[in-house]
Parts: sequence; structure tokens; C-alpha cells
Amino acid sequence: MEYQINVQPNWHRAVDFSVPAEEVKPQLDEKYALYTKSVKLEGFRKGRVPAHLIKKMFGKSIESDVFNPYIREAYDRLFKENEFDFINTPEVHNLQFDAEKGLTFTLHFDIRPVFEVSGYKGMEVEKEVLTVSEADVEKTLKSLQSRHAMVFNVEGEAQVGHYVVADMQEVDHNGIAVVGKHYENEVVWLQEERPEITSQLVGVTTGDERRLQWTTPADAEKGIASEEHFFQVKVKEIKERRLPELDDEFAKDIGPFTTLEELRQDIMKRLEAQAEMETRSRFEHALIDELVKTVDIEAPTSMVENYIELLVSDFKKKSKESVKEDELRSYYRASAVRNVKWYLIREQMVKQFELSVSDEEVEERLKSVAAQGEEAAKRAEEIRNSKEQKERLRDEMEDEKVQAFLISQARIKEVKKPLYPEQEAQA
Amino acid sequence: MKSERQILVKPILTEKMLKQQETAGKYAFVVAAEANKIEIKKAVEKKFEVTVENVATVVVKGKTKRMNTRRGLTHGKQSDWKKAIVTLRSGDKIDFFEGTKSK
Repeated sequence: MEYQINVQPNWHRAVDFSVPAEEVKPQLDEKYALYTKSVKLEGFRKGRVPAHLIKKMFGKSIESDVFNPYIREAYDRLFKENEFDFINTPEVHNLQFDAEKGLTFTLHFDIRPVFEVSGYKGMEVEKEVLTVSEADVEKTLKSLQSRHAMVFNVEGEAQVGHYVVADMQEVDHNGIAVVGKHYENEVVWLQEERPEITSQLVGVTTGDERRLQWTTPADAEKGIASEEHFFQVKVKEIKERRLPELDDEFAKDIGPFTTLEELRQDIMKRLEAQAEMETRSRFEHALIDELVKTVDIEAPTSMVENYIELLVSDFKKKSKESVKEDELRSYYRASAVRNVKWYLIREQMVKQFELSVSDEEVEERLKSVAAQGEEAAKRAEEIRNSKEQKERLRDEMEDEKVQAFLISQARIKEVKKPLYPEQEAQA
Repeated sequence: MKSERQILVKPILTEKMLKQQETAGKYAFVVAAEANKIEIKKAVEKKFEVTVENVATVVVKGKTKRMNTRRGLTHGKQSDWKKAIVTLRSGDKIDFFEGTKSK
């Protein structure tokens, strides 16, 4: 058996094997002869089935019986005689037998990339430092206020901004009720943004009845023409939302605060914590992105495919939406490539810069966690006893080490940015 | 009209028919009982892309079967079936394992 290794891009290897015909042919003939003698087939006496029929009907399984030992031998020799750190199971391609060329086939597989991490020194990374302003606090306070608004009944006429609670009955042009189009206790908000309805309802009082006209807009895309609808509206109640005053009383209602100022400070604190967390995660992301860009390696196809497979199956499990799998795959591809690269780089960095985390270090961390209190001690004990959780902790600590190392080597440019760039403050 | 798949049920592969295939270019099929020679000819020509020169058919009578059971002797009969022996133009061949156009 001879073989030749072809180095292909992306850490792919294709190894062509060939076995001379003189070696395989006798075995194949012997096997066929054996089969011809023993096979029972309807319409033929035993041993009288012609060879060409046997070849056509059972050829595949006879051949694989003969060829499989060679493939096994190929695997064995390949990995005994070469030091391949292969990351997927080799696949057999182009299995062929020719009376002249003999048995030929190719094994395809990916190997673990071998590379050095470089270029991390002086790598420029932008760090977005998120800041919280007084305005953000005010915005959060406003949204809190609106969430704690109370609803009151209004005596008298409805104004813009009020809510009208009414029973509605759709009627046709002649004022005859449409069956099945009766809606009870519908709430209509008299918004300034919807003048066509608001203008028709401003000024109603409880108990009033009115004919409401409403034109649904045309939708050219769906081919729907605009349509006129009429509703007989019977007003039952008129309501109004009143915002609570922003004062110390409000603060007391919200939580354990005595003054509004305390509430403000608490919001500030929470927003700052959020900004810090966001800053850290964005920075981590930027750091990794930059490193992946700097270190020039290619991600092995099999790893990327496996990763995408994982993401896709995960998505399918979580979501009931039917999404085209191809679209999903191409959507995930970029991030899969990045993550696989990062995984490889991280692994190499741990090796190259000796950043692995020892058992003692894990134990130390657990002790320091346990020292924080009873609850934490329990948690630490739990981690200590579970192999899986311990590994996860070790992973996390390794992450920290790798990151600390990168930060110590990189040139970091800080850029200040507001936590909420647009007007979408949320508590 | 019936499709060729409905007309041609399965080929008959026996020692005898293999010999006929090699020496006389005759191929046998189990065919639908209601199929006639013209339909069989068209079906074979379409499915295997060959020219049929002659079609001979025969209705093979099913065997009667007798069986002793606890309730006494029961009678039964296997179904009759139609066999068609198709002669191809000399030189044409049918490969039952590969040459079919899958429909």
C-alpha cells in the first residue's frame, strides 16, 4: 500500500492511497467464487447464478468486504507513521477498483492548526467607556413615573389624551348592524397622532351614542384597497391617566427610599453598574475581534461546519419559527468563523504563554468565594464537587488570564460614549 | 393510459430467461393482467429505450391449493398472472440493474 499526502488550504489534508491490483484481485475473485457457489436466488439452481448477475446484485457488499480491511489499514498506517492532530474523522472519497490501477481511494480530514500567536503586542483596541449622565437618570425617572400612573374616571366631556371605553357595533351604509362585529368595552385612546378618530370622539360624555366613520388605509403591497367602516359607538366610561408627582412621596412608593434624591442616587448607581458591565463586555468583544483580525489563521472547515450545525440545531430547539436552514447557516457563518478562530487562538495562547490554570489556583478561588458568606460557601462546595462546574470555573479563570495578558500587551484607546445614545432611556 | 410502471410489474430473471436474453434477445416480464401487447410494447420501448419487434403473452394459471385444517379440507387458488416475452431488435439490450429511466 502506498500513499501520498496532499496539503490543501484551510488545514485540510487529502491523502491518496493505492493498493496494487495483484494484491486485491485474487481476494476479490475468491470472494466472488465463494458467493457464486453459495448464493440462493429464485429462478436459479444453487451455484448456477451467472457471475455478472452476482456482481450486479451483491457487488457492493462483496467489494466492501474486501476493501474495508485496506481502509482500516490505511487509517492505522497514516496515524502511526505521521503525527497528525486531526480534528474530525477522516472521510473516504473516490473509492475505486480498476483491474489495472488497483484499488485507489482518498482520505479527507482536517488537522488542528499549528501557529504562533503574534501581533498582539501594541495591538490597538478601542475601548468604549460608557458614561451615565444626569439626563439618563431623569429619563429613567420619567419612565418610572409613567409606569406608576393612575387611571381615574372623568366626569364630563372627553378631551384629547383621554381614554374612551365603549361598546362598538359595526354597521353598514344604511345603519344596519353587521352580524358578528360587536365589540364590548373597547378602549380608544384619543391621541393627537390619530386625528381622524380623535376628532370624532372629542366632546362625548358617558352614555352618549355616536356614529363613527373610519377609513382603513390602502395597502398597495398586499393589494388591499382603502375601505370605509362605520361603527355605532356607545360610550360607557371616560378615563384619564394621571402621572404621580415626582416628590419624596413618590420615592417612598417606589421602594425603600425616604427622599426623591435617594431614589435619584439609586438610579444613578444602577445605571452606572449597567454601564460598567456593558463597557466590560463590549471591550472584551472588541479585544477578541481585534486579535482575530490580527492573528492570521484560517479556520478549519470541519470545525466551522460543526459549530454552525450546533448553532442551527440550538436555534431550532429554541424557536418554533420556520426559517430556511440555508439562510440560517449563511447568517451564522461569519460569527462561527470568528468564534472558531478565537477558540483556536485562545488555546494556543494558553500553551504559548503558559496561562493554564492549575488545580491550586481553582482551589484558591473557591476558598475566596467561600469566604464571602454562608450562601457563597455552599455554592463553592457545590462547584468543588461537580467536575463539570469545576471545569467551567477553570475555563472562566483561563479566560480572565488570557484577557489580562492581552490587555497588558495592547494599546488601549478609550472613547467615551453615552450609555443610551438615543432617547430610549429605560430603567 | 397507464404508465409503464403500472404495466410492467417486474422482470423475470431465471436461468431459462437469461439464456433467452443472450441467445435470442428475449426478455420476460410479469405484466398487468389487463395490459395488451401494444401497451406492453410501448411501455418497454419507453422505459428501456429499445425497439421491440415482437410481444408474446401468456396468462399463467394460478395453482389451486388444498390445505387440511381443523375445519376440514379448504380449497384456495393462487391468482392468475400474465407473462410477456418481448423480443428486441437484434443488438438491443436491457440492463435491469442500471438502464432504467427512473420515473
